[in-house]
Amino acid sequence: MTDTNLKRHNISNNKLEEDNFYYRESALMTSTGSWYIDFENKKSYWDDITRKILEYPVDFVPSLKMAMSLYAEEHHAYIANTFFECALSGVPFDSEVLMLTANNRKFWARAIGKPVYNDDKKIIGVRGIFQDIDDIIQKEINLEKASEIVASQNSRLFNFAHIVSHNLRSHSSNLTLIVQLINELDTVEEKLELLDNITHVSESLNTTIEHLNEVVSIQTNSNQLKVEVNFANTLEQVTTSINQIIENNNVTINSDFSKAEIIEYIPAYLDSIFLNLLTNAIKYKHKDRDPVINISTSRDFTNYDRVVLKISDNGLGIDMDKFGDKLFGMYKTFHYNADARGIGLFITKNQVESLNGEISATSDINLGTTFTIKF
Amino acid sequence: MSKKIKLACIIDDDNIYVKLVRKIIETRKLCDHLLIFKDGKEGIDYFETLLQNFDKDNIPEVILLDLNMPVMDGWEFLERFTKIKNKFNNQITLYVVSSSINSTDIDKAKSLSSVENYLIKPVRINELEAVFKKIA
Repeated sequence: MTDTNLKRHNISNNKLEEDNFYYRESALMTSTGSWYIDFENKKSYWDDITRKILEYPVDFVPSLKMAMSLYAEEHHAYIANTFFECALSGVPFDSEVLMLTANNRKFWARAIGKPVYNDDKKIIGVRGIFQDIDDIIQKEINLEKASEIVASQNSRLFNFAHIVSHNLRSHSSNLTLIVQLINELDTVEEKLELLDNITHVSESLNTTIEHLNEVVSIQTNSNQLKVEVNFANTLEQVTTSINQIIENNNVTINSDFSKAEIIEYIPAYLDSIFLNLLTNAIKYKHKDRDPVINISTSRDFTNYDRVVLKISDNGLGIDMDKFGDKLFGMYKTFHYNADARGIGLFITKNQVESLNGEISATSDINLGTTFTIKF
Repeated sequence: MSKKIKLACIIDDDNIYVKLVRKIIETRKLCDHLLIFKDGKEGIDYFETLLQNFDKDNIPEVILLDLNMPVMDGWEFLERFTKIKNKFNNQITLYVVSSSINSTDIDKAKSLSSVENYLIKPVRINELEAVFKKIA
């Protein structure tokens, strides 16, 4: 080799090393690993960073067979489809997927891939990168959750403002009417008679404000400490407190909490939920039969961590087509019961929702009603 | 000259409101008799029965209908009442009287052919008198 050639060679070697250094640094800093799947030799290649991201040892040799095990099960179908599209039709991809490391840890990755062609324009492999974007996606998920909470709080606030204006308006308009009448009437006796009405209005006004206070306190109490609460114990406490009503009405209560025995919850809320739903079931019993109430817990089939409580009765039932959207509304009553106040289910709904749960009901007229709470 | 309404009807679950309107009607002598129903169900039952045993004297000339009521609300009453209203030979004028200031409620009620107008609670005594005088 001549001097100049040697020099040139050294320069290009230096240049290559320098480039390599920079590529490696940027790959490390962005947690981006490269890979290649070679269809002709049926082999796959990973660089060091891919091994690092996927938590495989540095000397690990990947195989084609293991490809699917790199992805979380819920994304298998999607990944298979994406790779086929790329390998068969040459469609490049750039997607966010849940991957699995060698230690079985799930993380979010960005997977980018494109087809590699030979001189005959035939696809002979797929080349691409994996980038660990778990931090970013977790932040996105948290942000989404926060925004959902804000949206649901906002909608409850809006609903509350509506309730306040509506329920206070009916009292204030009665007061206005009384004042008009006092001015209208001639004799003192007649005017004095109207004072009695003011007493009634002020009493109802007080009751309404008490109810509204109760709702407000639910919203503020929801930051209260949750503790482990036992369903069976709570049920026993509540049934003891309404023992008289249960005996007088010949109520049978069956319970099965074997699928979920405890829950992290505000104890007072669970008490109140049980109390409201049980007394409701008894209050709206069918006149032809003694009340039977079945209570059970289970787990949500799409999310095992979520406990579901079902309380069903064999009572009057309610016309869901007609009243379904109002069932949990404030001051909505549906039967001719003198003691129906239309506050119980409204409070229950607010308690459940303040802890990010859901409550729903199904019912058949004359057969009974089932309330389902997803905690 | 001044004719007077013989029979008027109030459908409202608010006892105090009903009592006060009754007092206004008595004081201003706006009508002879008053029918009172505490929800839409009681009201529609009356009118549907009236169709069976038709008696002209029992048909009110005016109905003051509340919207928010238990068992059957004003909307459902209106739905069923609209179907039979013509059989009473257009003798009945219906006003919705509600404390709801929600424009959706107001527009919806006013758009119904069976509703003459929408009055917002609290009604003014003169307003009420005007309604009764207009019909009589």
